[in-house]
Parts: sequence; C-alpha cells; structure tokens
Amino acid sequence: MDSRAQYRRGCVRTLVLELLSRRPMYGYEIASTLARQSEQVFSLGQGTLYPLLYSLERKGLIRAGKEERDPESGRKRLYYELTPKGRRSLQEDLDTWSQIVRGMTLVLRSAHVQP
Amino acid sequence: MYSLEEYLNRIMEIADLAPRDAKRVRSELQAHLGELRDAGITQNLSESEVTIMVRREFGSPEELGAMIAKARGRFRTYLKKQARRLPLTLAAALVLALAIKATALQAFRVTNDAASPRVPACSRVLVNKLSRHPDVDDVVVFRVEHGYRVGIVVRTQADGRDIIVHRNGEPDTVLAGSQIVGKAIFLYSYAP
Repeated sequence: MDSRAQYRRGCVRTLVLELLSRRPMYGYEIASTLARQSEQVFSLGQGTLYPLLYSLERKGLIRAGKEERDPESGRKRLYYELTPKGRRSLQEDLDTWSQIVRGMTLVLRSAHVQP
Repeated sequence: MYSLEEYLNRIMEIADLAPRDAKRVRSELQAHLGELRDAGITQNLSESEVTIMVRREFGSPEELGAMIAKARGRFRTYLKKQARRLPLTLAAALVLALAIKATALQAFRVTNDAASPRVPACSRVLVNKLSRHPDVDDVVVFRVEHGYRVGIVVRTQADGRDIIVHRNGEPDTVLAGSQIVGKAIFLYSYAP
C-alpha cells in the first residue's frame, strides 16, 4: 500500500469511529454515509471498509452487535457499535487530527505570506 | 466478466476463512453488494453495467480477499480451522494408536527382578509384536493365564516351535510359539 492510500485509510478509520459514535450502523450504511457526507471524496473502494471494520473489531474498538433483517428488502444487517475503548481512541484521533490541521495550515499559510 | 455471485465467490476464495467467519463475512458482503445492485437498478443500469459499477465501487476481489484474510488474522483463521478438525484428528490418532498397539508395538511395565540384571524392576520394555520368533538371549514378553511376563530366551527347539525362557527364581518355562507376544526392542529403566 503506498503512503497516499495509507493516509487515506487512516482518515477513513477516524471517520468510521466518528460515525459509529453517533449511532450503531451497518456496513452499507457506513459506506454510503461516508460517501454522501464527504461529497464522494471517500466513495471508492467500499469493499475495503470491511477489512477495516474487522480489524477495528479485533482491536476491541468496535463490536458487531445485533443482526437485524430489513423488513423491505429482507436483507440481514449486522450493526456495529463503538466500545468505550473505541470512544477513547476516537478522541485521540480527533486530537491528533486537530494538531495536524493546525500545523499544516500554519505552514501552508506562511508559504503564501512570505515573499 | 464476473457476475456478482462469482465476484463474491472470488473474494471468499482468496480470504479462505474459517467456516463460521466465512458465513458471517459472506452474508455481510452479499447484503452490501445487493444494496449497490439495487442502487444501480434504480439508475436504470443494465445487468452488466451494474456489475461494472459494483466492481468499481467495491474494489478488486483479489485485493479485497487478501485484506479480509489479513484483517481476520491468518493465524487465528488457521487455529480456528484446526480446532474444528481437532475431534477428528484425535479420533484418528486414537484409532491409529490402538491399531499399532494391537498389531505392531506395545509397551509393558516390568515390576519385578525376574529378568534382572538385563531388565531390572521398574523398567519399561517396548515389544515388537511382529517379531515372534526370538533367538537365544533375546528378551521376550509372553502371555500367561492372568497377564504377561518378561523373560530371557535360553534355548529354542530345533523346529522353532517351543521356546525355553528363564526367569530368576523360577524353573525355566517351555512356551508355545503362540504365547510369545514379541521381542523387546527397547528397554528403559527408571529405577533409582
């Protein structure tokens, strides 16, 4: 995996934790919400969401909860929810993200300001 | 060109998960692909266009299968598969052990000094049951009415049918060939 893909994956990890902190969601719902709310920035490679979910589950950051059947389509939906450990990890991710954004902004802005 | 079912099969084939995990992952991916397919149909796409769209949005099956295998833990998957086979493996090992014991090799514990000093008390002997025609000086295990005895062959009859065995403190015993369990091939003494 190249560094750009890794960077993107790191972002998706934080965003998945953020979405699940709001309410339990199933795979397709996470992928479509991510695509919609990011205005399609995170729309491709939806399948890679599952390896990410399984790895978060193994690390104890999320858990697969109840499986429900959608009354309309009849499809089974496995809902994921955030664990307390996941919530702490999300907070750390958000703190790191704030620092990165601040640092990047300061440096990039200074590049424009300097002659 | 893959159909969606073949596409899913390919992912699962590469992921190669333990059965229970495979069932869950398959059902989850199937539901997701179904949703994507429905979304495509709503946009009036043809079946082949839907497949292309799903493949583009979902990713390469080979890459995805490998990522899922890694995420579920290859070693964990291996252990889960082995655990599933464990009862069968144990049963096969037991049958094999009993078959070997019945036909080829059997271990005996020697509790007295009747064959001392060659075989002191507190020894174990491993008997080759396939070797039932011992020579002079061989250590043998033979059957008596209530159990087994160990002794040293002192003489064999010319026709090889009767074997005379020595045990300390007892008169030499003449044994029929059928009484011989086998020749000891390995001695292990654990006496202090």
